[in-house]
Amino acid sequence: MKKVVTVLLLMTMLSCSGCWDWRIIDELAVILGIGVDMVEEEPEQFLITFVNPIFEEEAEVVRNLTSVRGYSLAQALINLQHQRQQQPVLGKVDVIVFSEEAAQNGAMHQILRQFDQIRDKNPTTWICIVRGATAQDVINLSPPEQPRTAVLLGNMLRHNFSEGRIPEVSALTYWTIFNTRGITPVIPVIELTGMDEEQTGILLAGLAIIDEGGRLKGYLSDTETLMYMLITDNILRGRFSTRVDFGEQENRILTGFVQSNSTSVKSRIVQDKAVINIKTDIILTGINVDLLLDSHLNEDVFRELEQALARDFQGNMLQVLRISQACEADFVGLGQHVRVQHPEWFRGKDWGREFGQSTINVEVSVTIKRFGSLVNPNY
Amino acid sequence: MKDLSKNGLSDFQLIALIFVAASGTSIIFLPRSVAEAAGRDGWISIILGGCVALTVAILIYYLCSRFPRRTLPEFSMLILGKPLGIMVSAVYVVYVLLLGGTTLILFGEVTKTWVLFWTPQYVLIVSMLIPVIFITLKGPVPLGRYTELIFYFVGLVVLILLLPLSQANLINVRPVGAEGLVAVLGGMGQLPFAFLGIEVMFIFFPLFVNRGKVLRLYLLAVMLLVVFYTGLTLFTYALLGVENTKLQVWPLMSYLSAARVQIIERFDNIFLFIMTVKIIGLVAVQYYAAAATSTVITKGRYFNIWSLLLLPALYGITLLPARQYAVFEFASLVGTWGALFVAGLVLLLLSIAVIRGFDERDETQK
Repeated sequence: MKKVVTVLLLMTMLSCSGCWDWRIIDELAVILGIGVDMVEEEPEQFLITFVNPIFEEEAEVVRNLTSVRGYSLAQALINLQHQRQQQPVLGKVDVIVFSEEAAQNGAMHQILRQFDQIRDKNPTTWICIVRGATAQDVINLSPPEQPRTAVLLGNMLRHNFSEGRIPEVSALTYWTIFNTRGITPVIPVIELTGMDEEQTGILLAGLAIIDEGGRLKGYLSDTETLMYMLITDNILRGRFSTRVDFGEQENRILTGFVQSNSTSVKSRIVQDKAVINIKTDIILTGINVDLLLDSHLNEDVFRELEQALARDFQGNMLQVLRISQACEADFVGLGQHVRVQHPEWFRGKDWGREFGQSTINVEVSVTIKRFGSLVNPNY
Repeated sequence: MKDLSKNGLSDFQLIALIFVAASGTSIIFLPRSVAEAAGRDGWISIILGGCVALTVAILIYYLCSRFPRRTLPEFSMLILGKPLGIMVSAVYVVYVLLLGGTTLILFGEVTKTWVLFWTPQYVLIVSMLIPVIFITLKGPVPLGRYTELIFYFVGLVVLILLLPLSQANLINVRPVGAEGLVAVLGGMGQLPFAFLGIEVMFIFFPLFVNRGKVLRLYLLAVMLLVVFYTGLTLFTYALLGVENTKLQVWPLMSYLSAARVQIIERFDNIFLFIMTVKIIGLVAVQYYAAAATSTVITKGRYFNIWSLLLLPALYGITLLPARQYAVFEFASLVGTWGALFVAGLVLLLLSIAVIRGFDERDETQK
């Protein structure tokens, strides 16, 4: 009898919860990508494009694209539901694309805040900004190798992250960085590519600088992005390409891999201003260089190239930091180090302004571990 | 209570019982509440709070060890006299019911927010109360075995909790100690609810088989609790940043939502499902303490009746705070008054027992 009662109690338990929250997967529109644009004639409105895959066999297309207007993301979702036979869900959104305009006027920040408040979202969703096109164009794109643009874009961003080309920028990391004093976010920038005005591809074009107000302030090019990755110790197995002078051989192309990188930041306060010294040790490997050499298996070759690369990296890093200071957006997070090293001084300071007036020095040392497979690359 | 030394609780069950009885839902919002008061040094507040909890645990042990065969209602009646002892025991019953009830409400809140949005609160609570009553009716030894099982599950939870760590940045928790002593001490004010539950020793002490090792194991269990809380708070700060942690209602859930693995995508939900088992364990331990105490007050009879009679009271407590903000206020109130009650009770009973020379240790040894 006791066993019967136990089984009955357990069965009651199983049937008790979940009934109110059941969802049938076939009846869900699993949104994979979102594009956010501004509406020209109505500046407070957004044009939000949602895309979800279609799995029904009889369907003629593999994805469903819907653009709706709304004053908020939640309102756009309600409007989306009015047009769809399935319930839209955001738990698997892989990427959110913002137009340049939306990023510049703070609408991106606003939408991300609304996204952050949604219960069943995917907080690890990638975010990016499209330059020279609308977010709707990106979502509408039909790349030949992957008709689901959101999947392609998500994969592209992920692989570039794992190759050390960009930092991981998700909705979660955006808010973590934005809310942390002494650092501001950066967001990957994409552009559309194609032939004869027919755009079919996506290109990663660097990083967007976001200021302390959540607005787009400027861009970092491809090379500057690499420097950003080096300063922030984000680079892992990253590949780089640059030009160096070697004796009389000028402006020679050199490529290689960053095996490891270590950056230390020391700061001091001089006359109530921060003086920040950055020291970066970079270990490179797999160097391919367009040089005429008797043999690269020579200490002088290693040393001279190391010095040339160190000068090159140092100059480029300073350039990135100058951009950062001009924007008063400390996207490399030097303020965090100042906060750690001088907490009393940092407390109550407007770091954005202080950062713009800080003195920053960079010291780079480069160690080359090995070259490629040829003794003389220009044989 | 009858002699259960041959069928009592093992060493491991002691650790599991104390850990399960104390670590409830508070960890899900603890990183925020300590950060609000102590900022980046919230984790230091937890360690200091843990030291206070360890001190209280030592006092509880010394009190209980003076009466190795008696539970709280029995020795309180001996120390304070019957009327006062009954009164103290009755307050203890109310306290443990409040503790169990508050844990259920908080867990109901987080479950509703995160997973079962449309499922009514009463369904969540009732579906958890059914196993609670079932385990309680089975008695203390199956309860001990259940907590042991839960402890293994907690090991699984720890593995899950490590997953988002790859994205953490230690600079978010530095500099250490910059918030100042006042802030750190202020953070300790958020901790009482997190450490309540370790006083179940009052009821379970006579059931432990290996009495010689009770103090060591008891302190080990409390220390595990401190490590668990401190570690998770540090992890959350390192991943979300302190400022962002302060913005999250349930920071641990936000921390867990950062973990994504190809096959299992929502570790936050898996964590909640495992926590369900853990919360049932906590409520069952507290509920057993209430039923056992009530049984002693009624001269050791009617355990089964008390086990059923107290259920409406426990359920009634879960109905008290009707809105989200009230739930946190209620938990804070229970935490503060509960900690004062436990600390006051231990100090009062131990002082009187020492002054009046109540000590049954030799008697037991003979």
